[in-house]
Amino acid sequence: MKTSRFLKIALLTTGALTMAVAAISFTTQVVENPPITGEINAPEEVKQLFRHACYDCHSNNTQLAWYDKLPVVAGLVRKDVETARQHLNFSEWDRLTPAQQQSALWEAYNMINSGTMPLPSYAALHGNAKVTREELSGLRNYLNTKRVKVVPDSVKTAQTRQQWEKDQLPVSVNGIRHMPEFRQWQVMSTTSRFDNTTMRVMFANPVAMQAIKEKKINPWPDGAVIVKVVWEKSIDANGNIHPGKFLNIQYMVRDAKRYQDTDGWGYAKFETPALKPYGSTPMTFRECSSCHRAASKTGGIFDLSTLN
Amino acid sequence: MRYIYFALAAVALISCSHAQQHLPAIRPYEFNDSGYQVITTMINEKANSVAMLYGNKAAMNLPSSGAVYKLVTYREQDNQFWFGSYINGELLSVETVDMTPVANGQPPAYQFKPYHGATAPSDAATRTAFIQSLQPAWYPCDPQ
Ligand code: HEC
Ligand code: HEC
Repeated sequence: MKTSRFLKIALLTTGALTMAVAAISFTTQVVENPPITGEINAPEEVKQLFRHACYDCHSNNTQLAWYDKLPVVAGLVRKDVETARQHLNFSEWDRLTPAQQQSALWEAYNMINSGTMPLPSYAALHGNAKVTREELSGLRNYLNTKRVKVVPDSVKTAQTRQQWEKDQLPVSVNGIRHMPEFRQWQVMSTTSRFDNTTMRVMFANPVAMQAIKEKKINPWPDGAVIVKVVWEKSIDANGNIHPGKFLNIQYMVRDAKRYQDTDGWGYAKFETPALKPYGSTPMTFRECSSCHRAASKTGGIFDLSTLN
Repeated sequence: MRYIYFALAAVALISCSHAQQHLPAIRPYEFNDSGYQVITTMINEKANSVAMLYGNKAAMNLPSSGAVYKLVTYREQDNQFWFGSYINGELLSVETVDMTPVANGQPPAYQFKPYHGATAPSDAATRTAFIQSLQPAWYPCDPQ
């Protein structure tokens, strides 16, 4: 009787404890799983490795064991997951540029190979997080397909040469450099805006000028370059308007293949007399090309005088 | 539903044929500026015209003799491809100021060439002085 009563109490206590732990582990939201924006794209075996060894921390698909949800432990886990996601998130892979994806993959391999990742403290408790030799060599094989070779690139060659020149010319992020030689090119047109207070002069290089003469401008030939110089209007005492403050110089460089993302024209803009390149990434210039579609009848170029 | 596809196909066809339409009539370039550089541009809203001032090599490297200036005046017209912009249209005249005679103590030579029915200005000396008074526009990378 005495023992059974003792047992009862013991059972009740353990039961209560278990329930408490269970309740904590089911109800506590240790970390949230934000929506997946774009999963990493890799061979299945590589994705499999990342899923079981890294996803609890480096994805928006964190699945924690009950013991990760215990008080105290939960706080540490949350901190790890939050920092881990900031550094590398396989569920938001699309947010990285191709170059960033490339370097993240090689870094991941080297982190695993050196035993830094998955975090050893975590791996010790989570048997299934360990990366096997086979898996690691699978990742290595995949990376071998992603080795990069240096290829001839006229833009980079020009940039290399340029850094030795005394008067460095500004270069746009998409590789287009300011071309002072435009001063020898023919004038394509001049415009006076009345939707703003600027005036412009357009210059066309010999390839572009030839294309206009031969009426071969839809599409324009590769190598055509059109420059636009923009000033603020300045009016004199007689009412004549002259170019005032220089605002910027803009370029359209035709290379159908290289600039296919912007309808075959490479765009660039250099602002103020210091010719500060405009735009932080090549994507910036999509804003240029989408508006220039309004001139699709003339291959993307607005400023051609027509016979009315 | 079928009708929608049909309508879409029709729209696609129309827009394709549209893209193949021939070019708008581009105005030929009557003034050949090769060998000359732009010095500045001047808009005259009252006269509805725009003029480009050009100079030969000697005009661009002051001080030097043998400078030749050309003021090329066009009618302004609506830019057919952008409402909000006027563009140079019909060529009206080319005025040339040749500084060569100045070296022999003579006045600069002035010549007026009309196009498309423009009439000559009254006074050569006034026009010569006016053309010489025009200030260059600021161009990046030009020797300042
Ligand atoms: C228990 C959580 C956890 C697991 C599992 C984990 N990591 Fe990490 N990882 C982290 C944390 C935390 C950091 C940040 C370390 C720091 O701040 O120094 C990190 C950093 C990294 C970094 C550095 C990123 C940078 O920006 O420099 C790489 C690469 C990485 N982890 C790869 C992996 C890979 C690959 C796996 C799976 C094999 C993995 N990790 C598994 C928690 C984890
Ligand atoms: C909102 C529409 C719009 C955007 C955006 C735009 N452009 Fe234009 N662009 C025009 C119009 C309209 C003209 C011609 C009108 C004028 O110059 O008076 C023009 C003319 C030009 C020209 C002269 C050749 C031509 O088409 O006549 C160049 C060069 C040019 N733009 C470069 C750029 C660059 C570089 C960008 C992006 C940094 C850009 N544009 C963004 C509307 C746009």
